[in-house]
Amino acid sequence: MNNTFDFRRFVQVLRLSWQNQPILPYVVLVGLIPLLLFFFVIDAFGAYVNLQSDGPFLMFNEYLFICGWLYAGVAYSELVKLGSATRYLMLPASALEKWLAKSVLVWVVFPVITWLTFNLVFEFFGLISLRWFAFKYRPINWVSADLGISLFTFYMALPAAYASGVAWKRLGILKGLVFFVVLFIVLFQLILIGTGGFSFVSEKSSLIEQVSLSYNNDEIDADIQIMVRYFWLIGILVPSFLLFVSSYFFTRERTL
Amino acid sequence: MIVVQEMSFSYRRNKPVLDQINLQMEAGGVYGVLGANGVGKTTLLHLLGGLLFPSSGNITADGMKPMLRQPAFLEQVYYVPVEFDLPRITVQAYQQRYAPFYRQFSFTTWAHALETFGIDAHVSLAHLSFGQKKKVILSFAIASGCRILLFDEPTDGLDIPSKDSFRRLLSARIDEQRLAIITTHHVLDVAMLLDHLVVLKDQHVLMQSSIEQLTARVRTATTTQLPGADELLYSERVPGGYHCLLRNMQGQEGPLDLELLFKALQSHPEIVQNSLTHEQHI
Amino acid sequence: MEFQAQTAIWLQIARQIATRIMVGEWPPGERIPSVRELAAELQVNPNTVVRSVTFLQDAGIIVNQRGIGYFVADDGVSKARDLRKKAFTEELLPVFFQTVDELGIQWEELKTWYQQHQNNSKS
Repeated sequence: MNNTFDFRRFVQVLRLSWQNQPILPYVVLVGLIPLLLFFFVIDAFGAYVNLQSDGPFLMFNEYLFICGWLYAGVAYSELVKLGSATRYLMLPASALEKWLAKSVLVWVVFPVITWLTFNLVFEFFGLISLRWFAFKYRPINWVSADLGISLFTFYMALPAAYASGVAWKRLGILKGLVFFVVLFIVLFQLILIGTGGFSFVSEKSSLIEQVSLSYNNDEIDADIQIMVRYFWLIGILVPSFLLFVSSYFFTRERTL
Repeated sequence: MIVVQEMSFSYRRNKPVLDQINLQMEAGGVYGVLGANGVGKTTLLHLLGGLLFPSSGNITADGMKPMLRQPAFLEQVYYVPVEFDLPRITVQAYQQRYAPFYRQFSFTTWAHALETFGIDAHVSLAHLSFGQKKKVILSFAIASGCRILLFDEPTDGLDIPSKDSFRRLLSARIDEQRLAIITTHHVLDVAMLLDHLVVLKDQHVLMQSSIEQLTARVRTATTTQLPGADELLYSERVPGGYHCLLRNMQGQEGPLDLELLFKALQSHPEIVQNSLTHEQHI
Repeated sequence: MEFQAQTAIWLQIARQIATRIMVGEWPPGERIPSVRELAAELQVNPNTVVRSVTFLQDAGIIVNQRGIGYFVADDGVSKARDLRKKAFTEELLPVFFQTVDELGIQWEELKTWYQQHQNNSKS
């Protein structure tokens, strides 16, 4: 039997990881639905005059970010507590299989679930909004650059989430929270710079306009724009990727 | 089979927990690892299970290095730790989730073990006491079919009847292919199960020997008067006389109280050199 | 003087099995439990039981039928009795007589006690 990767065993690990996954993020996922609806309603009152708003996309972004952070943090924290780490490390599967299984859940399955939940709530609101608030959102364009940015910031946030989740379990909830807030501010600054660099991609992108209000694109000269763009790529993509890869080595080299 | 060669381990630089130890453990044996608190018994188990990596030296288990944590190695090793953390699911669900990873898992042994321990498979692990959880883990270990079983203080948290059950279940599962390693400071709980003894002291292996070899050389007896110095190795006052560790003079085998032997070795480690490892003249 | 004249675990187990054969728990020709079953019952290492069983086999109390298990020998009961008797005369009696000497107990005294014991066990 292959010692590094065996598909049958990988499926077993994936199944086990799915069965053992944390419930807390799902509680938050469902718990945030009333809040989503509340913001939709607020949005409806504020935007009824022109019968449309770009709000939902930003909400989706934040929804994904919060739930995803929680999920990644809690999912990886299995490796931090002594008891669960022992069980996880002694499980007869290779580090690659274990890491890949977790990654699939954290990076693919959970985001898809979040996206589906959001869509469900959004469609539900769509059913009642016209009659109750004389308001209708225009359909979200899921293939727009917005989604790209949204998912990108999300995936960038995941390794950060993993890092802060680990910090939370290791340093305690308070220090973990401080760590997260600092991380969040840093990341948000990076996103601000980054979206400024991205703004030439699409001229009618709600997310970009929202987060890059401080930019007046005409006043930024082209050199700076290119610099900003590179900074965004290097400043976010690289550490993001490194953190992701490091989570593999963390699994492989973790000792008690 | 496990071979440990010149293996050292330290958590902090220059403060080794285990210093250049050598061990050889054969399949078919039940090895008791004894040592004072903090001497590195758990650390040794972690090293053998690949949960810690040696600072230097080598460990091989069935020809594999534990630290690589290859699936072929992991599916032959089951470790019962002192501290564990179980998911909030039923006992049965736990078995359904984890048993598929162990190809030699025996469902009949599992059911029998749970019955012996008096555990209801339909109860949630979250509602079980520490001792009951331990029984679940022990049952799983015994049913796993793994060739190497590592037990860290297996009788901790078990009530007296459950200790009986554990001994009964484990002794029924020992065979020529299986190696069980038990660390404990309750020697008497498992003494009858052991056929080999490893004593750790001051970062080293003070003694490694089969019980058969030991009983050929020393025995314990309770006497009203202290025996002569040529025979006596160590003694302890008990009501009505002395509990003594004696050299086997006539080559006649006697009982051996491992707890007394352990105490003797703690205060008189030289006994190993003088009476346990060298051939007797008489 | 040593009290609690004890022997090695494997010998204790061998003697216990011999006693069980002597009292007819397993009659001649019957299979005794396997090493594994005995080990589980007595909560000891199977290797210890192997030693006990080998010892009993050497003493002719049980016979090994390859692949099936151990059976009580035809004359197993009397041989088991011999074994117990040997242990008694070699280990218990010397201690007993030593105590008799120490306390200065006379033969006639012993005889009376023994008769008393006989009467008690009859009634």
